Amino acid sequence: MKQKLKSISLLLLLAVVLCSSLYSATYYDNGSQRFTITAGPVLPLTLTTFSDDYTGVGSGEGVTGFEPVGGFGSLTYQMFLNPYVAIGGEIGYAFNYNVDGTLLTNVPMQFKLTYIPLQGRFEIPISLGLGFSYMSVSDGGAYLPFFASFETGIDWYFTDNWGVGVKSGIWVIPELYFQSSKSSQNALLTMVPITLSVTYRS
Amino acid sequence: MKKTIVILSIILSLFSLSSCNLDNEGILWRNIDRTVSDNKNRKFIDVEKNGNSFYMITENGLEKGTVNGSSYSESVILDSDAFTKFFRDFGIIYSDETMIYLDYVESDMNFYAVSLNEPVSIKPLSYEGLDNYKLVDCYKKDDGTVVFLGSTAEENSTAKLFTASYSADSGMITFTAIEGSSIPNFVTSYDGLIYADEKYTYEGNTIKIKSGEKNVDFAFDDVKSFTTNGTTNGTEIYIIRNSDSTFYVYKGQTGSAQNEILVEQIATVGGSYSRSFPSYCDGEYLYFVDANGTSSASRFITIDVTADEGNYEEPSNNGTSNGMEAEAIFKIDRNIYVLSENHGMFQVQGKTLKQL
Repeated sequence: MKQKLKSISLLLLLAVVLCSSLYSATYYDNGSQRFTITAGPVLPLTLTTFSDDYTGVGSGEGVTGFEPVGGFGSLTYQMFLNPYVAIGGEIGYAFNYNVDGTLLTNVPMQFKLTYIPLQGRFEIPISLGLGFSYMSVSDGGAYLPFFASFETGIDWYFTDNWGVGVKSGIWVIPELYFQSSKSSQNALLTMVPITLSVTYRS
Repeated sequence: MKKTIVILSIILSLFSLSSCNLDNEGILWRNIDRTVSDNKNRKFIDVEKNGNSFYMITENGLEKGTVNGSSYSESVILDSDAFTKFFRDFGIIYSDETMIYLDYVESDMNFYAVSLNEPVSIKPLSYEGLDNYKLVDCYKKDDGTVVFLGSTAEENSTAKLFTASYSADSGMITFTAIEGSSIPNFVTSYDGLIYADEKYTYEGNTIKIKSGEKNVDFAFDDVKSFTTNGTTNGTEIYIIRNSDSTFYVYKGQTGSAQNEILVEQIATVGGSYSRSFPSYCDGEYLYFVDANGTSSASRFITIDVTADEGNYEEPSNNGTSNGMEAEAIFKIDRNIYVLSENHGMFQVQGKTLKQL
């Protein structure tokens, strides 16, 4: 699994470097804006509990306890700091059912920095997000953990302003307790969203 | 703008690191232990005589489960057409090879003899001796005698206890009322059947425990359920749930004087959710599973019946599954098992449960 992820990351990086060197015309100016609506499935990747040094990879009972597929939707607004880099915020809603039928929901609120090396009709945005998520579970418990994300994909603009895209990446959600009585409950969740998006740019 | 972002980040960080996380049990940490709810809505019937199996009615029909120490063989469907699971139905193993099952169709009682030699056969029985009594439950006494409890109506009726004799040849089950077992003002609740014995009667808001000519009464505002657990060392345990969602656990012991019974309260367990539940006492500990009223978390409670009042344990990491409801707790060989309605089979290991 790790090997696969490494290979995919390398391929994406290579594609970005090649594309940016082949086609480096800029579309955006300082102050340009992007507004994106995103929806798609989100898959549990790993769940680590530190107290028993356990990492489950995938979904299912005895692994991460999640059903294989959840859902995610978000709204993003960004403004360009320079022709290649946009910064803004994203708010989303994600849900994942557990194997026992309970529901885990996340409301990620994050600052999002996007670098777009390839611009024009086709774009390859690379985004890093950092913020918080309001996480709750239907059988009791709520938490506001840090939330970090990496995302990339491809957008195709069928008009000057409107584009559709497909993206994926990884979320990192640490649930860390600083009270010594609860430190044994520290855990780290990673998830993989696979989304379709509609972007309006100006 | 920058200032706003900084202030917002600081506020969110403080939330993240403090108040929001104080009243919480690890959300993700709990996920590893989550198990699939199989939602078979099992209805336990009885444990096999001299064997490792037990019988139940599920959505799949009549099933047989087998345990062997810490292993559980998923149940075998003996008859997929057998009976419709209904809250008033019940069955009991009457002899080594025969189970008696009562299947209610609306208010009509239909008795069946189930031959347990596989493949099982199910034959309807005619019955006599109940007059206008409708059976509400049955149980097996320590000597193996099967006792049936019947009442004339659901509320404020008279209840009686019956023994039964079954004849395979005539296809008839004959009930005989136990002399002196008349229970006035009997109230049957769908949620909390009363497990009565010749020694225990229920009248109004009072549980009467009779030992010879001696009576001990418990008076409560609103008795919701009452169950007894016979033990092997002369001690009996009574569990009463009051209207304040508290279970009161009493221990009754034979006193020094003839026909004297000494009753003392040994534990109160508050915040209960279930109005009735199965329990098991092995003479040293009393076990039962209750659901948390504010979440779907379940709790497994162990009470040391040999100790003084208040001695009970309820470990937070108790091995139960969320939303688990116990259907039966029983002993096979030296092991105690919990059959859940909707989350499979568990074995009691110390003060916790282990899913099999």
